[in-house]
Amino acid sequence: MEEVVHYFLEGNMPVAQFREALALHYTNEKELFEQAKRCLNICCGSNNFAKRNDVLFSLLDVAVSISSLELRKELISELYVPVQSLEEAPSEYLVSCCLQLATIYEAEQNFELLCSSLEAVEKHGHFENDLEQLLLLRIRLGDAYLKLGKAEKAILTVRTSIPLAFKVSNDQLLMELQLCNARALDETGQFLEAAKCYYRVLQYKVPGNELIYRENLCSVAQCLLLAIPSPIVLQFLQEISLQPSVREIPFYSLVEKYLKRKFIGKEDGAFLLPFLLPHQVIHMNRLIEDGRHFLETNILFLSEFFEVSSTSILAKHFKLSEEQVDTVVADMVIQERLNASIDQCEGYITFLPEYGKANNLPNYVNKIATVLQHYGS
Amino acid sequence: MEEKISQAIDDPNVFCFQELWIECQEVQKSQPIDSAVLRTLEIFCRGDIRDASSEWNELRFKKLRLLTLIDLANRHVGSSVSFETILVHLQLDRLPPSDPTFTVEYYIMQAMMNQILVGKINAKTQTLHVSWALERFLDSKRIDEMKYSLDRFIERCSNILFQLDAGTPSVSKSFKRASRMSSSDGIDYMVFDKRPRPDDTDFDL
Repeated sequence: MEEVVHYFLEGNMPVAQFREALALHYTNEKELFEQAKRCLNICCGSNNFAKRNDVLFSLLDVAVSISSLELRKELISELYVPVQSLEEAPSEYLVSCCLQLATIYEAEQNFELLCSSLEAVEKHGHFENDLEQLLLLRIRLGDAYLKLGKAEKAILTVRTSIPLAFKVSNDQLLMELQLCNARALDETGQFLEAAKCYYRVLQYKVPGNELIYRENLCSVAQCLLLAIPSPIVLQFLQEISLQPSVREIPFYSLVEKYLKRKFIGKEDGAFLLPFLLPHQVIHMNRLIEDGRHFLETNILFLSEFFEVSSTSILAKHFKLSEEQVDTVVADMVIQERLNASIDQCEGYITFLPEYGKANNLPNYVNKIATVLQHYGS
Repeated sequence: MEEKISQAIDDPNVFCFQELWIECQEVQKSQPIDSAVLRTLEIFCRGDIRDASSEWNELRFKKLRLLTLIDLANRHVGSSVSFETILVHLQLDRLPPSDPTFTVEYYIMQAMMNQILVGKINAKTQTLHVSWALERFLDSKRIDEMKYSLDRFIERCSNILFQLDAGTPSVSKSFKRASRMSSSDGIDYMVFDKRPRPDDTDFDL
């Protein structure tokens, strides 16, 4: 085999013939592995860059055809590592090596090396003229980071990719990026942001989206029920309740409870557990243990029923002490999740219009009614 | 039919019995319905807590109290009704001693959660401001009233638009000059003060 390589590098053999010869010069994969390594050493010493590159690509083709995963991985690594440092090393070849290694690491579920390989693909590749390929790579990389448990890195990868996706205006890629972003936010416990991303995925009209539509709608609802209680969460739930097939969500009965503003408790959290992902189950168990999440949600419900509420009666509704209710309401007000004023002397809580609502603007409805009455009489 | 009536009465999500009542009137022409069941349906259709039977279970009493509450609320749409009035109308004063405010609030909240009442509770003034309440029985007289109200509203709107069209002055140069001096968002702060008023008074038209 070595003679064939020498012969080819000297320019005495066409590429097609060389490839055929290469394929014939071995009896078993172990022998091929050894011969390919020797050929690589000869090849790396050559100054004929064009011929050298042809040999490299041919050796890579041979390596890919090896059925043994272990041998294939070892040979591709051998073909990749020394070539990186070569002068005028072909980027296309390096990218192919890294992608082949990535496929092997994915099969082995070695996510750390999978991430390294995909990062190397981005480093070696020239994607200036092929943004779609770069985005596909970024989506795969984001996915790998998630599997590795590095959700923050996945978020960063996706965030830097979204502007590129808008450039290529490919809905399919945008949808997959948003989905990756949503899953990353979900895993880092940023449930409201995750819900927004899952919801954006629902907006894309791309082939096959119908299949994942219900799954994403379900994910939106899950994230909203796990998110820190706030008026935005309740508004968002109201919005998804208008989506078609919302009633097919397996835990719709709980969503309906939120929509009707019926008090929720730890038993509702327990009811939701079978429908949650492993990391969400951990979070929900913490919420059930603490119980405050449910109390805050119920206070938000009450803020829609009451203009002024008595702290003592509120405490009675929740079977808590007045101090506990006071503390929770005060915290929610400080965090701007509730617009209310507390009169501790008299023991009343006044619920004000939501933040951002134009509560100081003139009441035009009453004015119009007055004008109409004036002209109607 | 009797079973269907009982199911509807005991269903915690059913509060409107008009259709079932009309259906019973039709069915009765061909097959008789137990008079006691029919009487119960009539109470839930248009009766109130005063018509309740002592043989009923607690859930039926609760539901009829909610229906009595929305009847009362319907008479106060756009205005307020006191807790005291609610207490008497729902016969909550006859219940075993408990905190009356808590009990009244409980029933109001139940009505709101069941989406048969929209309003705001003020525990300080002990009142409920009613924005909307479910109408239990829409007869032709009530539908005519609604049509009349809507027709009058449309008529008033037409009149006001006609008068505004007739009385709109042409825009003078001085007005144009003044409008250029107004704020960047197109709202003149001299005319339109966004700050909350200390006395909480409304703006004059």
